[in-house]
Amino acid sequence: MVAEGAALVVRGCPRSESEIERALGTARSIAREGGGRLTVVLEGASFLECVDLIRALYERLAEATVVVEVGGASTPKDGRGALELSFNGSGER
Amino acid sequence: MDLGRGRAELARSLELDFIITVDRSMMSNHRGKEFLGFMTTAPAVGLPEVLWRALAMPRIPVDEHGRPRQAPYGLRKIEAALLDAGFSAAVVDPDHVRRYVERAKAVLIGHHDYFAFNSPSIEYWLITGEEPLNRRSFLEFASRLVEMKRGLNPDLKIIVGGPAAWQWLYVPEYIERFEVDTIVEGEAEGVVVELARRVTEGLPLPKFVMVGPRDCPEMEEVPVIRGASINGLVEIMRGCPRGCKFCSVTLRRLRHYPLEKIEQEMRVNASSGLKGCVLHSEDVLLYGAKGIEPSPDSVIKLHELAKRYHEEVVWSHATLSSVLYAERKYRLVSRVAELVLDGRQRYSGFQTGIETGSPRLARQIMAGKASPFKPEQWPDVVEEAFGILHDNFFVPAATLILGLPGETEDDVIRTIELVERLKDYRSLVVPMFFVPIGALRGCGWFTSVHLRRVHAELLLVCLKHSLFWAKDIVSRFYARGLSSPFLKLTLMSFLMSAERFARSLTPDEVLEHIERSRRKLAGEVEETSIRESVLERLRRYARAPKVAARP
Repeated sequence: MVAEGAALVVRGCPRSESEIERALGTARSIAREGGGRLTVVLEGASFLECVDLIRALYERLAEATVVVEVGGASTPKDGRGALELSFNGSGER
Repeated sequence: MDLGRGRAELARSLELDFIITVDRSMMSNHRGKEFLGFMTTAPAVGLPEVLWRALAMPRIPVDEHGRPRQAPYGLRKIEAALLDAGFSAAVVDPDHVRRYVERAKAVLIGHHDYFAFNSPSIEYWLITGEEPLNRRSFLEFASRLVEMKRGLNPDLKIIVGGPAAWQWLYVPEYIERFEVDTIVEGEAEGVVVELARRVTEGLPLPKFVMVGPRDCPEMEEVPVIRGASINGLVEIMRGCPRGCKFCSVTLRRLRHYPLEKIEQEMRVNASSGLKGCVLHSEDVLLYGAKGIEPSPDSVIKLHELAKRYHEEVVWSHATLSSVLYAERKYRLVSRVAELVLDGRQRYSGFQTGIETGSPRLARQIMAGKASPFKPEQWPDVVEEAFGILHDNFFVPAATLILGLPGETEDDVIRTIELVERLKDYRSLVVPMFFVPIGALRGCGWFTSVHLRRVHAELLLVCLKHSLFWAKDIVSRFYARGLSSPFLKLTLMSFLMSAERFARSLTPDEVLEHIERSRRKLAGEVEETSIRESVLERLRRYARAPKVAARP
């Protein structure tokens, strides 16, 4: 199960509410397309830096199986490729 | 540990790749009394901590390899999943983890309240202004573990899971401090095998895994425990169909274990010498049900089965509407009581949720909880169900939720009225504060609880109700099983002192006390001042002559 489903690569760190909403909206649609599964790959930011996004995934994407990897711990296996979102991390909290 | 003893212990150790463990607050059978386990969710109050710990979380016997004779059910499931998949894994007592750390590849930890954010820990924390014991116990354990890892095996992976795994996301500094590699949220029997494979093959681990409903295993796929569970707990179903807004269990699909599988686990527990069994479900009376329509045959067969293996059978949870409906339509509670209370067992008990006495609020937040009755009938459903339970020697420990969004003063008054209607029924009623999950971010969760005078009145009504019946329960049933007369005396003395103390309190004093606790948590008050004031008053009332009960 780990690392199956479609992937969302998050470059940088979504911090402001609008950035988190954007990442969450994209994650939700990818999970829907991926049959309820989603791998989020964090690049250029640590898990702790992105913990607001992770909490949002936990609180509001309960219908999906979500795997969060840091720096691409593994590659999604379904061959659909990955969607990417970039954040500069300067958004207001 | 001296070197000679260490070598001897190592020689007797297994070669484990995966250590499954948890701190003492959970790795204890709580003297065979599930409700004593709730003492771990509070700080020691009115008793020295050493005595509090001895009462609530004594060590559990272990075998020569340091494997506990009983272990939390969730850890047993993970152990079984890994063993079934061919991994070298075992549940290990926290005092014996050290001997395996050097060689192991990973430590897996499961907990139902790592940081005391769940109820009732968080209530006790706010009321006393002191860290609950379960939180302190876990933090002590995690500190020891990370020291062992750094000193003996820096490559050791640490994976955390269980029903409270989500709590790590709200204290992310602990993820770093305790060097947690992976957090697993949700039903983990499937994913843990893949994580173990990754660990064994040296592949990188994901940092967070949340198992959604579609990846929850079917009951046929869930492994059978290999070793005994704490107090003989066996799961009979997962999920709940009632859809209460404040509960995450409703997100999980409703699935029932087949009786054959339940029997296999009962056999494991019975063969280890356990005389008692806890049937675990969100609503035991819905075992085998279609939706909320009970299946009396399934429930009766389940209890017949349990009694074949165990002298005592209790439930983890049941819903009061199920109690009333099943009794009215099938006499099901009475039939189960006749079967279970067979002379070897004199009473049974379980947790249940009243949550509110307000039909308006019930309709808003838990319309399905009263079903098939209407939310408007909820207070009557609760009272009639309590009457049925009292008559059949079932003791409910019921929860209330204070401060729900949209709650009015009238809602709280209706809840007070309901608790007062329950005064003749043997039960415990425990109020809990609604803490929005967002409030757990940062360190200021305690500012999110806004208690009014009417809440304080409700707290006192519940406290007096519960202490009155707790004495009855302890003297009539509970203490009969406790082996030490000293412990019985301690428990009864504590309850009597607490009752005298509760009688002396006014709602304003309760509010003032909670405000002081809140200021203490915020660091605005010297730590000792509150403790002294509470302990001083407790001591004073312990010395005071008995006063007659208020009419």
